[in-house]
Amino acid sequence: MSNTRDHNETIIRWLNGELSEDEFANFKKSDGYAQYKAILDETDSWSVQPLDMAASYKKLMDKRGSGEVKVIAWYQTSAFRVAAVLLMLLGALIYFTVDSSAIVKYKTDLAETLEVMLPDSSQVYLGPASFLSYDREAWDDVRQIDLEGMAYFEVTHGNPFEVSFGQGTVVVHGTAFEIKSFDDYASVTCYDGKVEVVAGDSSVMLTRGKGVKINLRYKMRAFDFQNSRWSENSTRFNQAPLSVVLSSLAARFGVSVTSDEVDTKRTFTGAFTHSSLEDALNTVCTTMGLTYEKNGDTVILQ
Amino acid sequence: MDNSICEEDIYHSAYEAHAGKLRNFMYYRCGDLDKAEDLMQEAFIRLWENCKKVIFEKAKSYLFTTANRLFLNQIEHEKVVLSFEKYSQPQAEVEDPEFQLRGKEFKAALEKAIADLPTSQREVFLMNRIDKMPFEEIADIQGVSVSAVHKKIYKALDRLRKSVDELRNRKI
Repeated sequence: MSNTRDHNETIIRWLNGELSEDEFANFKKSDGYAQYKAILDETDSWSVQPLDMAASYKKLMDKRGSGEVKVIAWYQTSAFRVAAVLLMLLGALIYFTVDSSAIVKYKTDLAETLEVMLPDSSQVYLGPASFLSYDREAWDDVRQIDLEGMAYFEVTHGNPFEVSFGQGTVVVHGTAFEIKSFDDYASVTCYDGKVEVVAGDSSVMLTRGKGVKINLRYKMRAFDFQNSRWSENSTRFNQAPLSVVLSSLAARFGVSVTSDEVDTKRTFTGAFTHSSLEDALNTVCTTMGLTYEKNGDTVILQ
Repeated sequence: MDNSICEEDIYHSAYEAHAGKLRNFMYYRCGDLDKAEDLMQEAFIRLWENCKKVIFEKAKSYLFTTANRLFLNQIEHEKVVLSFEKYSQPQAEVEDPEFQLRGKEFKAALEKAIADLPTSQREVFLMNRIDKMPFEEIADIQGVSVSAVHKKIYKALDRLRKSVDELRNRKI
């Protein structure tokens, strides 16, 4: 083992030109020297197609723009929205509290959605059974939001805008995106502009029509989605565990779903409508080869 | 203080100094020249946006760290295919005539073996051999110790040697 270590050390010193004449003579005789030499001689003569600096710099200037320094320069037009709507209460019970630490909280119950206008006129559409909070005092410096559950965002131009959820963080470079965050699954889909998703040690830049799923080990998998426009009328999933789809559906319609006899680890790709519980159930059940029975507010899947 | 990145000509000189190496670094990762250039430029846009926070001396490590972060996760698992511009003139000195280590076949096998290296070994090896960056500079850019860089280098060399040996055994 120490032989290997010596050998490795010798290689590094050889590469650095630090070997004495004797050492080099020995190394030359050693096993593998000819191959090492051939490999290095060959690769040392290679080059990557050179970058055309002038053309490349011009391209960068086109992308960057020469104006004043901006933090977010993407899709500015759709970002400036008229700050007309204040708070629209779409559901029934909403908690809206400003406690002593200036943390503003919004919470939706089952079957509720909520449209929230943030202090900078950014809009958030909070999905059912979700929770959102931010620090109003820090808002002018950092637009930092904590989210549990589902929300769709339209972000106005300004300071960095970050949303933290269970599995990661989204750093916003543009305007419209959606987060679905559950205990064992999260996804981020970008409807317009650019967002950066950070989970674990890695990060992914999403552009319009791109999404990413995040699992429990903070591994991200990218996907494209077809309707690149936000729709308030359906909830779309891409290979999400059935358990997640069902809890989302239960939250949306305010029912309880029993799925004891069903393998909820199977994945579902598709969308269910928000217009009626029956239609939504039909879509999911047909896709997954299941049947359901509805009993008041309880749905039993088989 | 006067070397602010926010000054257009300072920014441009940072581009002149680092754009090539940074583009190559991204290329070693993803094997796509266009994508590599895009990622490099995206890092420079970030540098511009943060020009007040980043001092000139730190620009290089900022750029490499940023490009590293921007690098899209999803293409990491795709097969990386690299191709290099090669000099075709024969090497004068042949250490061991028994080996046919100069032929086209050798070049192709080596190119493939390099593409097949684990990403971290490949980028360190190529930054050192092609961009002629010293180990200390690579360690600095990647935020790791010099001995970690050494380790990647000799591991890479070891793997490449095995691939070369395989080629030779096939021929005999």
